[in-house]
Amino acid sequence: MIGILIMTLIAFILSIILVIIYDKTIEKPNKYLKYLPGYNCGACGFGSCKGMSEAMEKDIMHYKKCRPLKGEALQKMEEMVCQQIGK
Amino acid sequence: MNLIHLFLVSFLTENIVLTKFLGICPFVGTSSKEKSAAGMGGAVTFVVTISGILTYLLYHYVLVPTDTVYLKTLLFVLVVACMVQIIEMVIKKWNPKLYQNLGIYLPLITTNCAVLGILLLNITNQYSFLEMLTYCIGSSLGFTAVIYTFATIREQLEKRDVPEYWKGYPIAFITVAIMSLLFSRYL
Repeated sequence: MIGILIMTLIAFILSIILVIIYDKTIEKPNKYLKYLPGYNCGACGFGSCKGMSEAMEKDIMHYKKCRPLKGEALQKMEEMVCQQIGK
Repeated sequence: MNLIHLFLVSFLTENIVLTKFLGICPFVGTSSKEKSAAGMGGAVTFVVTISGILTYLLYHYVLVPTDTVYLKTLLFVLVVACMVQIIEMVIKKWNPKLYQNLGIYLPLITTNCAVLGILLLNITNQYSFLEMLTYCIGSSLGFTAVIYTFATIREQLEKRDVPEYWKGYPIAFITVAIMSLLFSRYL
């Protein structure tokens, strides 16, 4: 009986350690990437939409450099930027 | 003095691969390239040292007082598996190329008998904490040194003119046999 308890306890502790390390090492998807058009045209000067989204993490106003961003997509992006600045 | 002696014995004369014949699968599997051999050695060294400390503490402060020593094999496998998962995540994050080179052999450290063998020998030989640490580091560095040497030899062998039916694994195994004789002082 005590053997089962010990194994369960140790397995539980080890799994918590694993979850913590997994959470720290996994690459989280960039939150700005889904608002960008995804053409990877490079007109912004950052090479691709991924580069742009990484640049936006440093300075959010970089979104103005995205040329294909028009109409509804631009509106959504601006709403999101306003929310971010508001925070 | 005793510790230096133990280190040298575990590193050279009682080498885990060449005299105890443990961990042959990753030894042959990942030794075709120098870099993956060094990566494998590093990963094994890390896993053995950390899980050696953990299993020693768990064995002496949890299993012995509660009289559940029979759990040791199960518990050691659990700790090793956990450590391998951690190192897999870390290598995937920091060195994706090494991760690709090691391929299936990285998660297979879990079932690498050299790792479990060292941990169980620590207990069987009744080492103290420092002796255990020396033995773990010595054995795993011995594994690294041998696998790296073997990888360099295999890289050179590929350029040499080897008879057709000896190419690949046969000549590699003959090389291991000669190395084994050298390490156990028969030559």
